[in-house]
Amino acid sequence: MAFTDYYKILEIPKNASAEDIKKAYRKLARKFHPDLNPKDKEANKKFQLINEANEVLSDPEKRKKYDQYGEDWAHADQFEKARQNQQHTSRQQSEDPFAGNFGGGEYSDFFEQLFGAGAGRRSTKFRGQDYQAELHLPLRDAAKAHQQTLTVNEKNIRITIPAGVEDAQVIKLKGHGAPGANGGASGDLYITFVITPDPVFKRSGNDLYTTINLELYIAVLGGEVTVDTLDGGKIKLKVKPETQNGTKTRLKGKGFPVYKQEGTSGDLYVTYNILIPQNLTQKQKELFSELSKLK
Amino acid sequence: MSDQEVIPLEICCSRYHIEQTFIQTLEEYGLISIQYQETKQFIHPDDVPQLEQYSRLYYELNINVPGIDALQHLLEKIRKLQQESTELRHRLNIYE
Repeated sequence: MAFTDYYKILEIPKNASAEDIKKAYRKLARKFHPDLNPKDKEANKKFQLINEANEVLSDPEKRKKYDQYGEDWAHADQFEKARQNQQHTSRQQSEDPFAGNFGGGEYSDFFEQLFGAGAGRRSTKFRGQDYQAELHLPLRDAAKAHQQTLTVNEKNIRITIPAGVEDAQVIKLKGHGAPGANGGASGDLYITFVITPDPVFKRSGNDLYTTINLELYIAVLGGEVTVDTLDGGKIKLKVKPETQNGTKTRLKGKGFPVYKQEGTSGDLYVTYNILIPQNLTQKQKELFSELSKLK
Repeated sequence: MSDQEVIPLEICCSRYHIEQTFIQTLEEYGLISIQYQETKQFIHPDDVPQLEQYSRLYYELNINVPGIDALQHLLEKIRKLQQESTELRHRLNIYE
C-alpha cells in the first residue's frame, strides 16, 4: 500500500489554510466530478482520491493525525489500536456542504488503515453508483429476441433482449446498480451491447452484406445459386448470363430485423465473387484458347 | 396518471433537502418537468435520477441553474460523441 499525499492530490502546500483547501477541492471536484465525466473511469478514480483528500484535510482532527502519521503510515496500525482502546471515536462531520461523499463511499486502503473502515461515512442519504456493463452478443443472436441471465454482483438478472439490438446500444436497468448509502436509492445498471462480427454476414444498420462464390461458367452462361440467410434459411437466386465480378443483388426483407418492429427486416445484399477455374485439363485449355481466338 | 405514480414536490424536497424554488427554476429552464394536479405539484419518478444529478451539481459543486443547463447540453454532446466513437470503432472491426 503506497503512501497517499493528500496535499499533492489537492495541489496545495502543507501549510494551506482551511479556505485554501475548500477552494482547491471545489476547483478539482468541478473538473473530475463523475456527473461531469460520464464513463471516464480515470476521472472517477481521481475524484475519489480528491474526495478522500478533502475528507481528511478539511477535518482538523483528521488532518492533524494525517500530518502526524501520514508519511509513516506503517505505524498507523498501532495508532489505530491505541485509538480504539481509548474509544476515541470522534468522527465529526464537517459543516462544509462541499465535503460531501459523492455517492461513491469508496476509500483507499491507505485511508482505511489510517482512519479505520467506515471513517468516511456520513449520515446523508446517497444514491448508489450506476454500474456500466458490456454484453457481447454474436450477430446471429442479436437477430433473435431472446432471454439472457446476467450475473451482476452475485445477483442474477434475467433480461429479454429484443431482436435487432444495435452495436453500442445502451439499455438501463433501473435499481440494479450499487446500493445507496445511508438508505439512499440504488443506482442503475447500464448495459452496452457489443455485437461481435459474423464471418459470413456484415451488418450496416438493418442491412446485411454477404459475398458468395460463383463459378465462372454460371457467371458467363447464367444459372442458379443458393444463398444462406442469417436465420439459417436458404434462398435460390437466378444469375443472369454475363454477370460481372462484384455484381450486387438485393434481397428485400432478408436482412437484419428492425429493433422493436416485429416482422420488419432490412435487406440482404449479395455480392458475387467469380472464381476462375484452376488446374485446367488439356481439353479445357484448348477450349479456352479457342474462345480467345473468337474475340 | 394516478397520484400513486408521481411524487409530490414537497416530499422530494424534504427527502433530498432541496428547496422548491430550485426545482421550479429547473423547470423554467426546461431541465425537469413538474406535473400539476389541481393546486398540487408532482415529479415523475423517471425524473428523480436527473433531479438528484442536478441537485449534486447545484448544492455540491455550486453550479447555478444556467450553468447546469449549459452543462446538460455539453454532456449530451459528449454522450453522442462517445456513442458515435464506439459505433465507429466497432464498424472498423467489420472491415478489418
